[in-house]
Amino acid sequence: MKKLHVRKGKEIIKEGEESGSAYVIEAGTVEVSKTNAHGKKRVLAVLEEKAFFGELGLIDRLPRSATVTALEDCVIGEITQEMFDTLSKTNPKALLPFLRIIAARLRATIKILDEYKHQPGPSQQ
Amino acid sequence: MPQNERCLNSKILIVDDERTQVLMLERALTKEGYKNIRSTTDPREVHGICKEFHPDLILLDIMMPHLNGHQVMEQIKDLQEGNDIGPDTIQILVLTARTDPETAFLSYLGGAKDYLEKPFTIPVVLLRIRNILEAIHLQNELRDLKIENQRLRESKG
Repeated sequence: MKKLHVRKGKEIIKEGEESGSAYVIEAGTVEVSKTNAHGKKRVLAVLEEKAFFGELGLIDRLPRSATVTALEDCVIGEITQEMFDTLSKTNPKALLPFLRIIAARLRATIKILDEYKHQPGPSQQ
Repeated sequence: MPQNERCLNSKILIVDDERTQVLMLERALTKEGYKNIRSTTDPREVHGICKEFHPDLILLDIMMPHLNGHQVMEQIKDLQEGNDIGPDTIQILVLTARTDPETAFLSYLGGAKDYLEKPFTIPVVLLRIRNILEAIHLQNELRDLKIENQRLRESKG
């Protein structure tokens, strides 16, 4: 796996950009954020060592859904589309843990949505 | 040589920093009839052992001091890509106490053929080992038959 040495503050992936590779944090921490229509940034998560990000791009190749920024100097492993496709063909068993990673991410997203839903709206405040 | 005998003659290397785990696997493999078993509790020795012993299969732990299992797999990949021991000649079965999907996926990406979480039962680990070894020998047989087939075609033509 190719290793990327990323400086603190650098954006590793940018929301809206074309996706390709996924990444795994080997050292350091990163911040996952989204910017709303008014340009206001919302931090969705802070990820640490061994966490994956950008994994959806390996499946749907759609534009990135969030921006990921290094919060400190990081070492990041890159999982390219080619590596993923080869692994899927040669050892499909590998897809099961990958699906578990996606499922965990989906559950975390549902939890955020639930919390958001239960927040009082403007008329109730 | 019959398939069963070929499997039992395969070279197996056990890599785990826990001595009790190594002894348990050695005992189970010996009882099953495996004849070529080596082991180490120091992952830094794997590189040298691979160059000399040329294992068919490595039973590899992940969480170890000095070098973790992922780093060991990188070393093995380098050895195979550098033609020190030939490409794809070593298969890896990861045996680890880690249960997170990230570790499992990284293990497969690093070249593991299979992955088993600890604690495992002896019959299960023996079955996984057997499956990998049978696949290796069948692939080798297929390769040899293809070469023989090609040779016969060329001699006729």
